[in-house]
Amino acid sequence: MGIGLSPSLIANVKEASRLCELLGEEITFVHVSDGKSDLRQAIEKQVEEVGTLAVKHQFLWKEGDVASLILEVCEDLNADLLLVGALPREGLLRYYMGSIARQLVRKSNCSILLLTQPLLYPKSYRHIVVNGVDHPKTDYTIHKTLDVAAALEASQLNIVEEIPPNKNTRRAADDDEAARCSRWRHIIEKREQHRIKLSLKGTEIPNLHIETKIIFGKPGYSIGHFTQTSGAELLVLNSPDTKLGFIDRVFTHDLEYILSELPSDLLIVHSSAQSSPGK
Amino acid sequence: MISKPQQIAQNLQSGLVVSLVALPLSFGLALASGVPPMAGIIATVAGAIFFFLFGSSRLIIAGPGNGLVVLSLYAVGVLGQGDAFLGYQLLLGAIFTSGVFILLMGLFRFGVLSELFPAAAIRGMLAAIGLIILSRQLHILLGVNPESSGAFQLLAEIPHTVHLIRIGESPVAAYALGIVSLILLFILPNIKLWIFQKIPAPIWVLALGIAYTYLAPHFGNWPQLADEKLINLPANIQDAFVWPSFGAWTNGSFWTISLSLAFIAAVESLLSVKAIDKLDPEQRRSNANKDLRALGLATMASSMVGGLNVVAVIARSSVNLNNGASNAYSNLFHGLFLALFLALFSTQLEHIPLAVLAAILVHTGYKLTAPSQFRAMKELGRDELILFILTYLITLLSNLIIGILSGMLITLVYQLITLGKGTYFFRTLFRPNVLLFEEQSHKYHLSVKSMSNFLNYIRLKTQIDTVEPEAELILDFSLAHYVDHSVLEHVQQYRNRFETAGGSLEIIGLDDLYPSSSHPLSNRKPRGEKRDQKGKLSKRQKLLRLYAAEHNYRFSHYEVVEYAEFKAFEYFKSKFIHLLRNRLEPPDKSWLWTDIHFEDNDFYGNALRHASMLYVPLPKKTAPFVLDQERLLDRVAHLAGFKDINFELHPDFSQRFKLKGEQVKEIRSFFNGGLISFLEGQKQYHIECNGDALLIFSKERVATVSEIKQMVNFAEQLTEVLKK
Repeated sequence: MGIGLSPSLIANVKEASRLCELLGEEITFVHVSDGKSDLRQAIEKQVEEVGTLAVKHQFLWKEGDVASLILEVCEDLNADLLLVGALPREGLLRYYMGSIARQLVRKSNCSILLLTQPLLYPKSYRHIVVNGVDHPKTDYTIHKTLDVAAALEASQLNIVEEIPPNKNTRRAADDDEAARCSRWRHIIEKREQHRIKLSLKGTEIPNLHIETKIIFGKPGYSIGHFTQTSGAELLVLNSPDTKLGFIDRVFTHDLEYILSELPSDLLIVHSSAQSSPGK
Repeated sequence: MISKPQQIAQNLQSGLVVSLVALPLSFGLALASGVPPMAGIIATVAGAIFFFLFGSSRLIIAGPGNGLVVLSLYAVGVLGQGDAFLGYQLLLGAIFTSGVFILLMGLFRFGVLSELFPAAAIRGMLAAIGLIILSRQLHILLGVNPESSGAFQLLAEIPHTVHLIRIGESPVAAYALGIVSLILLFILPNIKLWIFQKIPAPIWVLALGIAYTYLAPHFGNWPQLADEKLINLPANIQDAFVWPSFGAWTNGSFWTISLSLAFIAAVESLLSVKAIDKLDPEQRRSNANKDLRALGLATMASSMVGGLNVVAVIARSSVNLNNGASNAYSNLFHGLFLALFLALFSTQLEHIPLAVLAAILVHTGYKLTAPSQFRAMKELGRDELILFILTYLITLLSNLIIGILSGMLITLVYQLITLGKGTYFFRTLFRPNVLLFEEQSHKYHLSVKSMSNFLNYIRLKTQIDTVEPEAELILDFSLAHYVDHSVLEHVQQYRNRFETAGGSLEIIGLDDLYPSSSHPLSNRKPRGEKRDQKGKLSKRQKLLRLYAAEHNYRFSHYEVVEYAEFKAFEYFKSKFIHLLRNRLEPPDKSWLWTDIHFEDNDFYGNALRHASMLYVPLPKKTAPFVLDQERLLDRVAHLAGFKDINFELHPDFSQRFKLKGEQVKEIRSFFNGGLISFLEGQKQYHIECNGDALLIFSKERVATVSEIKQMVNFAEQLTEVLKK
């Protein structure tokens, strides 16, 4: 977990320790300072004051470039999950420069969880949204999410698949076109529902209501908006195929929509990670 | 297409009536455009045939349009440089090119073009066109050819024209006929006689004009009308056909003129098509792109033989509709009738006085720019009125294109200023902001985020279009910060379409945005601090007020911050309640329905939520519990640890509902009674009890009016059951 001295420090730490109790075994707090000011005392004091750290934990103090050092630590420790606090919305300058959380998302080789609304007392992830896009990584992501949902005792899971609109599913200028459009949509919906059902086959989690939604809309954007509308607390996504760069920010697409306006906590599951996050 | 003979008769009849209206208009519009009168007839016939063959709208009438009069007249002057006939030929070349542009617009699906402009700007431009036509034709009506161009100069010239009449420069018959015709045009539609209601006023006026010119020579003491004040038709029909000339294609203004023609023709047509679609009793939807293609082809064909631009026109189309047209044949018939008239009665038609045609045009111009237009805009709020007037003035002072583009720009700047967050405005404007998903089968939820205005309305439109109108659509603006009038006006039309098709479209989430006037479709922006909120209710609030009045409930839309009773529920333990709005309560206060605005308790406070909930106090104290559908989520973390309480005698109830609580015994006794059988027969709600009262809701969002009625019914019956 990457930490710094901020108003949400305690809440972030609490959140992290709570998640660790449920999911993991060991937590490492990483603090990277610029070497000028010594915040070690202050932070250590605050974290210890939380007092409820039931899991094994350690502190790491580093100096240098924040993002790269945190990533280094992740690799050294072979971490399963990196936890970072993030601002839900970024300003214009931040948007193009990129916050630390963003840099981490772009370069990380392990799964990453961005906490947007840490609470001082335990919050339950009762409603989770996961992407269901037709992609080789998706299967792994969905199964991981099911594990997490079971561990966190979530009660509702939405699998959301975004279908980018094309000629057949978007054009509805008159009655004929509208009829054709809705026919196409139903065909696609049926097909995709079936595909997701197949990938869910064999997994049974009691007390978890799973619903699949097929949304025709801009990929990357729609799922974020859906998360916001449905009031879910956690959004789970595949890791990006390519490392995102500056150009992606100028021509916003896919993941960038969500990163620039986080609708909820965001978990990005890294499929190539050897061991899994959330055992 | 035609199946019943009765339908053929209907469309034949309406085609006939429309052709009679179109006849003077075609002549008049062509003359006003500075081209021979036959150009208008050619455009009408070409429009009728080509639009019938390739168009999609069934009720629209295609022909020469008002909007292009100003531009065509200007083009004849500029391109011809004094030579009227050369100007006409070059204009035909420009019209042909504009036809190609319109065809391309149709092929590249520019049918949404008309949706891109703010409603106030479009209306301002049309009103300006009306004034320009009116100011010019007023002189011709009085029998004088004006010298200046430009609306203001023309209006300033009126005293000069009056002076000319005084000194006898203008024949008495001309201006007398003109003035009488104008008065008749205003009066006749208001006379509640069958014959004046059925046969439109322009036909009466035309008949009057022709009758007068026939009769006058027989009565020496009547003022006579010189031939130059009558319409001049070519003696030979072949002479009417003029080939276009493309000699000016190297000239820059040729291209600007063709582009402007194409743009204005397209916008005017699209607006007309949309307006007629709105009036269609069968609520059929036209394909704007297909219509544009048809108009492009029609315009090209028309210009090849000397006709004007073909435009879908609203006035003639509504005459068409009023006379019982039901399909595209009436448009075809109207063109054929017109051709027939010309072939049969060409000598009689020569007797139409110009003053009568001018009167008809003055009347159409007046309708476009009448004070009622300004009043309508004023009702939408002062801001809309100002935008309208600014567009209007700029159009009059410059030209149509500059007028509408600056109207767009001004609207944008205005919205930017009222919202007050510049970077936010531009950041959100060009990003996707709509989400459509199927909540249940045939029930859709369309959520709109951040800014919703005329520029990104197209995104909303494409999504609404894909929903079948038989379905239920909930349009949720609760995540939006600004909704402008153009969007609400479009949405209003969709509501009509949904309702006629048997579906429904309900808007929620507008209550939080402050309307800028009492009009239901006025701009919605974030609530200001000071202004009073009296009488400015959203449609949903009005419906609720009505509903409350019907059932003798108390309704108040004011915001209240007394929410202690809600705070006492576990559900709200970890949440911050902002305020309650829209309270609905019976006189005995046995329940309370309200919209609650709350926040999930967090550091950044951006998770504002809205939900409609019911509060029902219990007659007797009991143990706390939570009751929900078996499959639904545990909304209260605190009670999650308890076991589901089942009733052996009610296996069905136990299976469907999840009941949790600490004091099992007490809860059992509370439920044993009429309660279980009552709940079994009802829609399932999430019910939470804190010992003293019940908290009831179904979804964690604001409920629609019909959902509220269900909730209230539930509460009424529940209180009855609880009393026992």
